Amino acid sequence: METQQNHLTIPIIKIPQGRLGMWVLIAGELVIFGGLICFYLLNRIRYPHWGDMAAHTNTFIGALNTVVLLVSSYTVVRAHQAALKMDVAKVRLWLSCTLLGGILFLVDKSIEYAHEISEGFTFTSPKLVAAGDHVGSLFWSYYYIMTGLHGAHVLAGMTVMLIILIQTRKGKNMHRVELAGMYWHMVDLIWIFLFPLLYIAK
Amino acid sequence: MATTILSPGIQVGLEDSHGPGNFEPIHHSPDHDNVVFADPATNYHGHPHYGRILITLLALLAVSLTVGYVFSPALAIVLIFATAAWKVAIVMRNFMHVKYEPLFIFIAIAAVLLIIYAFFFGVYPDITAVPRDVTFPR
Repeated sequence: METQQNHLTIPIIKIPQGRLGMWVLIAGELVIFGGLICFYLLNRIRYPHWGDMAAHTNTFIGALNTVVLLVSSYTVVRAHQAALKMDVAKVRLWLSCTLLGGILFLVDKSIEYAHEISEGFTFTSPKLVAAGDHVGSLFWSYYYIMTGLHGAHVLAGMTVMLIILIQTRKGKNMHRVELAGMYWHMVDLIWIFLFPLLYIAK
Repeated sequence: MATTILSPGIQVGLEDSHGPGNFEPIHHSPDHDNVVFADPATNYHGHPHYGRILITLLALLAVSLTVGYVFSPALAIVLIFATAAWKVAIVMRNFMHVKYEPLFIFIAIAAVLLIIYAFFFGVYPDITAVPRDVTFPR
């Protein structure tokens, strides 16, 4: 308890600058995704028909992607732990595992998108619109915006991770492993909410 | 180098040349490009058992996937989002080390959540009270 209280009273100027900057970035990202999730929820309440549309999303792939992101969050935190010990080999191993997780996520997402598009569910869903189902079409617009923006964040996180993987080859910039990890955890957090919204609540 | 004691057994050094903004001891390589963290013993972040946390998260995921088959839809939705919130809390506390961060970080996160909460309930009447002007086949 004493330890916790002492940590709580650390002044802001003593938080390492990189970590503080990352928290500011994460706060901004959470507002963006929070707004999107709010609008999705409001429309979901307004249009019960969205439940029928959500029934078309692939729960298995969604669950698989959740497992992939949770495991990759674990691997990146292990990379951070190894970075603190200046264990370059382990840092590179765990970062590579995280990158692999990101690739798996995007491959799963691509398979899922290909399936949805082949069923006629696209950003504009012309088949639904032609049938007068504008509300159903709106669901897919939200689906592609939310998952697409999240996918872009996964790609950004992977790019950062790759740069850090190269930089840490000679044991350089090890402190950046934690910062990349924080970003990756944020990507994981957002998916934890997107998964039940888009894949389970039908 | 000044040293401050955060808690029994944890010491954090402050490097004078970098002012009070640097909380951890910092070492520089000759090219001044290799700023690294201190060894774990002097870092104010703790490290929980990450393997156990991952197992807990996967177990919660399994729960969220199965409740839909066990409970009524209304109860299942509540449980699904409760487990999602629990998973988020676990990731933030342990993987993002929020439980080791100072009060400022808690306040920043709480402010973000408050903004989202205010946004949701601020917009709620505008979206739900407007008459539906679109139709769809049932």
